[in-house]
Amino acid sequence: MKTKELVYAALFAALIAVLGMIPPLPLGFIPVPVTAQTLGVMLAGCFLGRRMGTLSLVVFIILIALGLPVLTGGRGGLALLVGPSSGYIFSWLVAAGFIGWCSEKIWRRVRIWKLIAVNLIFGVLLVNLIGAPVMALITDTPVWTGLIGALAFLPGDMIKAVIAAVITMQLKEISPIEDQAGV
Amino acid sequence: MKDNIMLGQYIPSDSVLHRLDPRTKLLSMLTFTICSLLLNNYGGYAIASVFVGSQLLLSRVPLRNLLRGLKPVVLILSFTFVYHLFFTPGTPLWPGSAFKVTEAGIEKGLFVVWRILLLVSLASLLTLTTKPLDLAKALEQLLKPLSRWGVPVEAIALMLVIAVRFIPAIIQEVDRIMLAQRARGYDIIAIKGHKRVFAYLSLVVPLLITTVQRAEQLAMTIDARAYGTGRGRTSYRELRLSRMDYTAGGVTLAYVLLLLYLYLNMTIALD
Repeated sequence: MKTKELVYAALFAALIAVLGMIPPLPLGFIPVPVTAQTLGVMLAGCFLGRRMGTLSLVVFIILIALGLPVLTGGRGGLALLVGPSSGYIFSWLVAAGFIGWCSEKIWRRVRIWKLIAVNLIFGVLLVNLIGAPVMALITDTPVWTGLIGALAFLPGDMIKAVIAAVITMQLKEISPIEDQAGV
Repeated sequence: MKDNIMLGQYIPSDSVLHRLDPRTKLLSMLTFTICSLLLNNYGGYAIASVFVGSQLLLSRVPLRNLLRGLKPVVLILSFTFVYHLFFTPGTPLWPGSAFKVTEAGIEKGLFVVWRILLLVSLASLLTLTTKPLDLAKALEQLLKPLSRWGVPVEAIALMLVIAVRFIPAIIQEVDRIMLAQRARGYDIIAIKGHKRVFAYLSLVVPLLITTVQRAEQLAMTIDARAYGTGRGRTSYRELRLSRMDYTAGGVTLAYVLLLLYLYLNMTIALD
């Protein structure tokens, strides 16, 4: 593994941690505020690609395990990786991998609507489809109750999908994927 | 923003749990967590509660911090308990009432909530009594056998250290960007409504640019210092097992075997 890949993954894990500390954005019509943390997850996939994006989420999850308060609200610790929300945290890993894979695939003919679609499918739908069943498994309740609860997060997640796509398009020239593509 | 992120949730003390080797603590917690998934009767729950309770007492961690660790799961646990109360099939306690509470529902809800509290308490205890970098060191040591199957353990260890080191640096960067924006008459926190969404852009875009620049510089610096692949590196700080660690490991093993015994007993009795 190249040193540059290690450093990108590590710094992006730190970036995702810091994004979780940015003040959340309250939307007036739903109870849950929009946090920037999952924006970091989508950016890790879009901007870094499959390999480095996945690695950065691996590092981020290990940071959570170490007890650093890197989740939104200053939370962290192994408790969150064995508790009901653990499915969502691990789904970030899968989401970043898939977003990165698709991002690399479409990189030469990239359009903003393609990136938005990729972020919506893997960054929003896939995260909830993994997180809700795991929560249901741990709390021994049916999956549909978790999915209904996840609906409250959909508007914020969709906004973040668009923002991540816009940011990636703006910074396309300095992306590590650009280096790999050899353009 | 925060200045003490390096300490994580660690609370300094001189208790027995603080002095244990982090590898012992990590393995004990993981073993107990896996066995807790098998809990299915009052006997098992009682033994598990004694184990977790005695750990809490040994650690001398203030109760306030333990309760704070449980706060994130209170909402989910409440919902879980209420759900099981009403939807578990069984004999209603008050027939004909609008509330179809069943005895089996109460027991089921109690068991599920109880188990989650045990898991979360023990995991919180680990992070409350161990420094993050010590835990990182323990993880690296425990994952070392995986090197044989191609898992880049040294690389993961390096990434962890870099990430921990640069969280404060990136926090400073965020503060600096926010301050610069405010000096130009653009206060992100004061913006309301949908415009706040695009305010994120003016914060995240420069933050991403500086992170990429930092990554490029750091990668070059590491290569220039001949770090190589990380294999064969020596360590400034070493972990050491003491007699206390073997004692603690033995105690955990005894509890785990007892739980397994009760579980198998219950399973055989049900056949």
